[in-house]
Amino acid sequence: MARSQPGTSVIVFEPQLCTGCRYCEIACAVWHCGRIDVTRSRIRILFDEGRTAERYAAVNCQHCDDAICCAVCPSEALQKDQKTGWVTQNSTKCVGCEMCIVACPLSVPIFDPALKVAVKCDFCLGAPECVKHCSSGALRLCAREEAVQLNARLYLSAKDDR
Amino acid sequence: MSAQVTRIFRFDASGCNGCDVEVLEATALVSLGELGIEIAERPDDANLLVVTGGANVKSKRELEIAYNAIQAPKTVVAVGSCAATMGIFKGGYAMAGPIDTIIPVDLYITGCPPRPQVILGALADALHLNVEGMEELLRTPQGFRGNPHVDQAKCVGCGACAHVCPADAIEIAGSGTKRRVRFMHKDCIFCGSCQDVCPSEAVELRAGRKEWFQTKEASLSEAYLAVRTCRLCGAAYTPDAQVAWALRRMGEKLSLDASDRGMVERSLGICMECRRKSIAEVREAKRILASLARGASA
Amino acid sequence: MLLEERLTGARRAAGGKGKRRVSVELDAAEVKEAVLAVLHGERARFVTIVAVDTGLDIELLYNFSLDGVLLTLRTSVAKEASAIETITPMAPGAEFIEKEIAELFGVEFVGHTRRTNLVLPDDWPTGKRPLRKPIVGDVIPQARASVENLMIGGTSIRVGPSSAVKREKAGLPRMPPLASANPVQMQEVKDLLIRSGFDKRAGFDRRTGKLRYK
Repeated sequence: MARSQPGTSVIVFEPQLCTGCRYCEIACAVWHCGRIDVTRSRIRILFDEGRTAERYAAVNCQHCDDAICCAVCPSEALQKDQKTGWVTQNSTKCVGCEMCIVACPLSVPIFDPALKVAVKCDFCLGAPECVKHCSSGALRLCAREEAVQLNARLYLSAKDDR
Repeated sequence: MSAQVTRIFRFDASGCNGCDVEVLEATALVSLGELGIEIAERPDDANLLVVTGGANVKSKRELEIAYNAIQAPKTVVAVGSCAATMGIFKGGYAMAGPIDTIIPVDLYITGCPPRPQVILGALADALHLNVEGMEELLRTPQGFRGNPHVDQAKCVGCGACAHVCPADAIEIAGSGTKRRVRFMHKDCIFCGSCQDVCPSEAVELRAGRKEWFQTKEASLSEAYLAVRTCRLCGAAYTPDAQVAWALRRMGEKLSLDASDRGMVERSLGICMECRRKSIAEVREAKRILASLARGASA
Repeated sequence: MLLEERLTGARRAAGGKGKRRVSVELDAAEVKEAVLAVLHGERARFVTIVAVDTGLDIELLYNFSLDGVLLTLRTSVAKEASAIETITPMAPGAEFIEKEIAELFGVEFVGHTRRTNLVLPDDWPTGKRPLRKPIVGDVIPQARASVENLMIGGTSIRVGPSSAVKREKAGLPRMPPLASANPVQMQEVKDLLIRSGFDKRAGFDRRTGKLRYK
């Protein structure tokens, strides 16, 4: 069982604070690919103006404990680093089977057609760009224990009202 | 053909000599004279042309000359992927086309290179030779590579093999509820990358029973997968076998209770686009992950 | 020379500009004895310690004046385990500079007695070391995955899932070990990796068996 050691941080997203500016998508794409191509961003923001509350949502990696993607990866390309809590990827081990993309309930990883491997959030190896550039503070770093509580409040207790 | 003596002229049209070595080994495995086979030193002494390598700009003319010179009834056997399709040298600047674009080909022996036992078997078949008592000789020993064969029961249709094949010998086809994974032996270079990367060990490079055909497209191995459709948008997205494999792995590596597993399984019933497209679905996915996280930290 | 006799385990480096500078490379564990040896020489004077953050390690240069010649004892400590014995009992003048290095770089000088901060404010958070950079080696980000494969897994190319399973069934380790089965060749390869500094530049910690980069 791959769990993070105590004291690790994760990235949390609070929908009520998001303004849809997409700086996170741009920062992520530039950091990883050197150009502003948001289709290469590992975080995506959704906007639905038809909703009355929570009109924004983020598709972003939760760096889960006991991550499903790590469990299904046949080539050990995805690993849980217990010291930092990150789910890291080794692109030279990835075979492009897309098992992680199929198995993740949020389908977080994206397939890079040029390299023919799956890529996903790698926490920018310590200083996440999306958090750095978030203009409203919707994306922030917080202790994993706190994040678990926050997400429980956001998704487990609240009823989704459109 | 069976009564008269067969005189073979071997022509290397541009090969790496891998197939040539195997052809020579094949002729050394048996006593050719007893089978009514001789090696001709000139094309005009021969009635069977064995060609290796895909033709290049220099060998093309020579191949034509050799073919015109051999005696009737002319028979041409193309040995290896290069002779069949130019193999890994497709698109090379000096290549002039596979053999069958220059002269007619009667038999293709697929492989890169095919084993001597396979070459011998092909010749025996084509020349209707009496091979009683030669079964041992015609059987490729264990552990040698042959053409890739995909196990229908194990294949999950993920396409990793197609991503990695350097010879474009693997084709994933089908847009609806059926997906086909096809290994085309005429193009295969025996690198084994497909076998290496397959998540479910469904691919094996082994010499089959019969690796020679009159049409090169006939030499292949394929698997058919049923593809599931999205509960929300109806699009076909992933083979059932792939989802089943993922769920099995989750069962092995994670400790999910029945309700967790049910939640995850349900989420895999919608396609990857739908999971990321609507806020309601993103919330649902995050609900599942939050529930698993809370269970983990409990 | 007296210095040659006394400095055990020291490797001479062709360092320094002209004849008035001499540089000697040492392991961190050898520094205390070397300092003792230097200070017992004639007209020896402790000058200062210079600390340099080299990405993966903190390099420490102990400078002494030996009758007008500047002698530098060079050593380095890994950032993951940056501790070295204090030389203050032998060279009291080192007290302040060791404390400064401790505060700014986070190097622990074992046995150092000063408790309160010298250069940083008293309420400065202990985890924060202003001149200490995150661990970054010379391996470019794109190459890290391959280096990882090489040093930990044994091959720089991938061994796919099917092959790993086949190896396991054959009783072999899932990943092939580095280089050949011939122990002499293996040692040669390892020596080469060490001589070229690949293990330092790429930051492979043989002690923990892991790569050292952030």
